[in-house]
Amino acid sequence: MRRRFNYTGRKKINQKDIAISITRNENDLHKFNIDLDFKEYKFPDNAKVWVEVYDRNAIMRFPYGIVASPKAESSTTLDAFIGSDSYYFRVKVVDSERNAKLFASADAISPVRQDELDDSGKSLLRVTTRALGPVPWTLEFPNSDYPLLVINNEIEAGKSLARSNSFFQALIFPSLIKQILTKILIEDEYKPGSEPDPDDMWKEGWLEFSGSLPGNTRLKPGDDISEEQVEKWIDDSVEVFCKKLNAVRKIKIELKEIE
Amino acid sequence: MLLSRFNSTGIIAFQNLLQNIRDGMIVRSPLEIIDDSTFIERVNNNLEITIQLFQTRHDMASYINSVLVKSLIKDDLMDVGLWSWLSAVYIDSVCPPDDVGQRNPEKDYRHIPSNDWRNFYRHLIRGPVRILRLFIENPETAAIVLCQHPASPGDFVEQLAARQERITNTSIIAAANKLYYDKKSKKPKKGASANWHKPGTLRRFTSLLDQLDLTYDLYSMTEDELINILPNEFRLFIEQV
Repeated sequence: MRRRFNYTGRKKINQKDIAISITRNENDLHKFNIDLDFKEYKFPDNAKVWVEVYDRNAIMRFPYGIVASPKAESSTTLDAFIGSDSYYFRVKVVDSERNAKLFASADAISPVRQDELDDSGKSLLRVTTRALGPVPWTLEFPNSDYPLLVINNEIEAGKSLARSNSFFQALIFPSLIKQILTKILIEDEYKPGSEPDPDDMWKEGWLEFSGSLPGNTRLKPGDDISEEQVEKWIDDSVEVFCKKLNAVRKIKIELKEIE
Repeated sequence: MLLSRFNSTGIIAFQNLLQNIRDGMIVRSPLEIIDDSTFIERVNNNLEITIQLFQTRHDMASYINSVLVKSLIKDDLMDVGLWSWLSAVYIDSVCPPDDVGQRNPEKDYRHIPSNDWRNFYRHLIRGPVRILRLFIENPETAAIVLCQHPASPGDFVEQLAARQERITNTSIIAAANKLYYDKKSKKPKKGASANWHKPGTLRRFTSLLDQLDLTYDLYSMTEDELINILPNEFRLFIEQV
């Protein structure tokens, strides 16, 4: 596993101490609420708290009180993100008395949306819609978070394509899984860790999922395997996934080759 | 001329025209497609826009923004047909002809907005309008990214506008403005955008910002606070402030 060094003295705020929820107001704009628990960090009570919300096209910044009583100082409506829900949060604790030095921060936090609270656990793959021009879909890897499948917002079926359209799933998911596992194991050279960094939890989730597919083997911490073996494991994972999904049969049914 | 936008046929026709220009076609303005109902739809039936030649990104953005504000288009920055049509209208500013009438459009995203966020500010009209709006109360503090000719944004725009956390931070842009903008010539100071190896220049400034961002909340700093924590290598440009 890659090691990260922090030479800045800046602390990291654990994601367990940050709870973000999203609601929609009467104009269908997103609005956020964030609960922050700073008890274990020993920051000065008067340190300033800022919340930043950002995606690839916009950034909004909200003053959020002080450490002793973090709360919104103004409206938390996300009007810069109309038609998008693929934004992230960043929390900063700032020394307001000494040249804006950072005491701590947390980045790339995904909110829990009110309409997703019923989902059991966090999905390994986030799905959103966005203008993509002529491209029907794309896969993105946000920092420290689960992969994001972006579907062209001109396609009316939108997110439901990924969630319930078996033809789309059978055609797209094998490629998605290959891209994701290649990103984790080959591009990032990630090795399963016995005590993974919180930023790597999404990778652990994907390796656990792939390794637990019927007929596949789990990668274990300390496994010493060559790049060729990694490539074969990825191919095996795609194959057992397709088998579980019954992908070829689903495509043949859609094409009316069988009933 | 009434403010309009290209429909999907118009966008394709404009894209084809840009390719034809690259292939050597000589076109004269105004382009026929900007007022042909096959290719356009009106944004507003009583909002006029005047064809003119702009010398700077600031002058162009100011005029176009003043018209768009009246149009009340919701979320206009994402309106691909609108910005493409504006590029066609102002083609003499954003893609001027040379002595023999030949134009060099370069990449499509300079004229037709791209969905790729990295090219958001590279649209030659949408980019400066967006920057002007960010600095609408004090646009002279963003002169370093608005002073250029509309067709040639250059390195300052590329380095400062390509990242959200830079272009949306008024202190960073104001500090860059103080360091590198020459009020007399109304252009970037000479040598300021030299290659990144040279101390105190733009490339060093932007790479230093990435380091400082790990230690400071750069949005909470004033431009002077930011300039004060810059290392000695920036002294040459600081002393010119």
